[in-house]
Amino acid sequence: MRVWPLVIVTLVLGSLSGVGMTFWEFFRTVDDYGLLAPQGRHANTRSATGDGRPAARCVVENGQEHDFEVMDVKAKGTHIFRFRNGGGAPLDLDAGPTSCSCAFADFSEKAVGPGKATDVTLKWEAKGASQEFLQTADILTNDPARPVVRLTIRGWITQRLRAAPEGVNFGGMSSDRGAGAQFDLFGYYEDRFEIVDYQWTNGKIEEFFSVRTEPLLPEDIDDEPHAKYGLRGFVTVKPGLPLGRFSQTIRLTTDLADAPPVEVSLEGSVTGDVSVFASSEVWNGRLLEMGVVKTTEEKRVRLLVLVRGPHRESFELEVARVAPDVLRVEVEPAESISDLVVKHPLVVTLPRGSRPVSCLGSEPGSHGEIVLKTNHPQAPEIAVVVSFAVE
Amino acid sequence: MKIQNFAPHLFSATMLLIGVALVVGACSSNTSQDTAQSVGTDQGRPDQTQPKASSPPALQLIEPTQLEEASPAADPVVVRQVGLELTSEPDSSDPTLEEPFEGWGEPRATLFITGRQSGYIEPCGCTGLKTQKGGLNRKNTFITQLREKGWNPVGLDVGNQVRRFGRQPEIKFQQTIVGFRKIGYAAVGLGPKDLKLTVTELLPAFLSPSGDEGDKLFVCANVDVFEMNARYKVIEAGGKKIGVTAIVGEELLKKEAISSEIVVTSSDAALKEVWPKLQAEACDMYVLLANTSKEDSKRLAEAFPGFQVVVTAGGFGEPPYEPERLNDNKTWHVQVGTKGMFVGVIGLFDDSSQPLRYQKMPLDARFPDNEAMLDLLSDYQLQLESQGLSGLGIEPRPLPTDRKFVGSIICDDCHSKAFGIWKGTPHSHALDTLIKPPERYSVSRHHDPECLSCHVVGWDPQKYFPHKSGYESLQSDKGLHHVGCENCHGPGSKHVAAENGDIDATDEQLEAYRQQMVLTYDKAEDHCKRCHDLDNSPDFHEDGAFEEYWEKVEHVGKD
Repeated sequence: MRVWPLVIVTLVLGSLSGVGMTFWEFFRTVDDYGLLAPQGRHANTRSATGDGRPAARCVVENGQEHDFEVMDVKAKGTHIFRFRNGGGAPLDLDAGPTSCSCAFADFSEKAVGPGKATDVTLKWEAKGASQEFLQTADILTNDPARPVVRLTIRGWITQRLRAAPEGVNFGGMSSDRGAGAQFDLFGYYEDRFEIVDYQWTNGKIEEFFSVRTEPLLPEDIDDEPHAKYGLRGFVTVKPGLPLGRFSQTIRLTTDLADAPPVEVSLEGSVTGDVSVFASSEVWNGRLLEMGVVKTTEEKRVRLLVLVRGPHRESFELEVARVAPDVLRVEVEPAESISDLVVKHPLVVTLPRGSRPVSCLGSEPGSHGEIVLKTNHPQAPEIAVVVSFAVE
Repeated sequence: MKIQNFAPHLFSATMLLIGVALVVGACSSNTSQDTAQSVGTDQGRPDQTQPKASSPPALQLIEPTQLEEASPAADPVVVRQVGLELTSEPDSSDPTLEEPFEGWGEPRATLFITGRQSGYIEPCGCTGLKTQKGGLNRKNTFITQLREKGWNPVGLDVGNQVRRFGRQPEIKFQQTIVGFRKIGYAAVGLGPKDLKLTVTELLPAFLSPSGDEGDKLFVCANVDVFEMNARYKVIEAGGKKIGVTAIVGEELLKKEAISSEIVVTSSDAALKEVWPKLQAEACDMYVLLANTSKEDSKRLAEAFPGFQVVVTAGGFGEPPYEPERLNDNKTWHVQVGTKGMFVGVIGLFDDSSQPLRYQKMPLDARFPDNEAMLDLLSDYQLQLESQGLSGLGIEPRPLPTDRKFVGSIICDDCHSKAFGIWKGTPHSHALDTLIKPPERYSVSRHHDPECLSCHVVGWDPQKYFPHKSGYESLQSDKGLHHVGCENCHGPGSKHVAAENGDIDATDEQLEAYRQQMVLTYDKAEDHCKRCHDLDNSPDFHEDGAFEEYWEKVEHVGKD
């Protein structure tokens, strides 16, 4: 029967401690992420409960979040958050981290007496238009329940006109085939506009480009937040551009007074149907750099020959010449890697025991060379220059 | 409000149970059993087909322990110093950084999580390394330190190494990946900006230098780049098996014009296909690198609750101090921040009460430079130099007007006082700071269009191209070197020609050409901020800063 007092004490103690700790738990602050706010050096040294002493209590009277809705990209925003001390001890405020250097907090007073209020002004400057803007600024306090108060500003940054995308990448184009792309031009302030003039900035290749525009459908305009009107531009690149990269820009002038021209960049690469690749650590697009290899070591590098176009399935290649003869080249079986591309792997090896030789290109013509013979009508021969030395 | 802590409830429950046990014991001779609830088992994981006995124990995620009243030692986010070399004061406004990794002990392995470099292979801006964060240099130093501590870091990146497209971003992308391989990253995701690059320039970065086609650095479940990326990877570190996969959000890809040769499928369908394969690997933990919006990555975390860590490329600004908890605390939703300025370190422990811990670490000046990455940065600049402007696809563009740049030396003929004021400002040797930078001086940058655009005459500062008659190289007219008169006042050819009598101009035209060259105070601030933007010149945007800077450069009238 002596057990019973022990049982009763245990039950009472357990219940009281559980209730007490749970009750205390309700005074802990969590932020929007469901995380515990960090304590750090601003952790309270006075308890809201337990020792009976008064504590500061931070209240943001007009809410911690401000939505400025729409703002021009050149404008600066400010909003005043009113902080009040609802506690019995002085409330200390300080600036904590902001989510970007574009936002910062300004304090009219950093020490707030019991029952008093102060203004914390959040200022921000947007960068980049036609996008959602959401930034935060943490205010550190000595309120034991709210050591960090996170202020949030959100909205949408806009500008008068915007091209989407601002740049079009045609990727790799075949030299004998053209390509097309489109872009949208949105207006955010006026109900209508039109293109009155356009200009190609790269006159050297102007003849290969053409553009036309038509109004966007209402549903396409609705998809773009805060847009009031839009045009769709269709750009065509004609075949015949020389091999290699190209870069063009179209500068569009509208009938909107004082609106600067809008530019859309057009870039791409005209490649033959046959391209050679290796890791960027050894290949710069023209030269295969195998480095300096000891005669007691072996070095292997994988090259890929990618074939596109109508001849890709019937494409064959073989090694026609290798110089110097220390280099070994092995052709591996071809493999279709998509409906459009077939890859032909090659392994280039400097075997162990190779004789010393220098092909680092210190003199003209002193590089190594691999020549591949193919049955492609436009690329009957592929030459790969190799830089290496064996010591 | 949430009840986040099991400890007090466990304590009171235990006390109650002891009481019940004593009652039962007093009433009968039966013994009692502890039926404490287990947390974080296979519950919630889809398709758990293996018998519990043979599957590895699931990692348990628990709430942070209850804090004692106002004691930094008890704060779960204040961590112990692990001997990192401090070259500057830690960010004192972030309480978790006063002593990072406090209470960690020795993790079996660590996840070293980064992403959204967005072209910033060096710290954001040029206002002094001490005040900036990010860059490959500091990533390498930090991961090396973790490796030397025996913490077995596993480098994971969620993608978006660049933000523009063109030849320079392509070179930068390739160099970044070379850097990642040197740093020892285990898996790198893809982002829409990466995939926008020309495929012919993407592929060399995908290929392993060893030539081993099985050695794939890039991971993506729903994007196929010529079969050169893996759909998932299993990484072993510190005796832990970590299954990793990645996706790119289809909505983000729709906004970018990517090559039709890159095959894109639905992220949901791809993960449905990949998840069973990953699960069959019986990993200790599963990580999803989600290059998509924060909302979409949360949706995927909830749709695929088997991932204990979901890294998102969404979110704004700095990542929060702690990851967001999803799926009843079984999944950590980790943000990486922007511009590659932060690393999220997740420690993997054998402690069942706290198997994972998190530390957000800014890549600030506490991490000194290292030779390997300085060499890489130098190589990057050498590549830009060897390409030249035309190789980078940069052609001087015509000015919107018919004026041309003449160079600051011409201005000195009539405006010697203004020229003298200018000579006393940093503007007058801006190009020199690229040729011999005050920091990282071994890496010159005067062939880098992204730097030149604000350090010479005649360039568009935000689009990195020269106008015709602007600076093109060191061989250009000396008057076009540095931030010259015409950077602020505009091209002066008409004004100079009219004043010199080289063209016929009426008095009205003469006056009009003079007025074209005037930059008034009310228009100056916007004009200055084209170069002194938030990235490169944050001090310029503080209250009162412009007025202070204006006083140093102001000059009025002819002379």
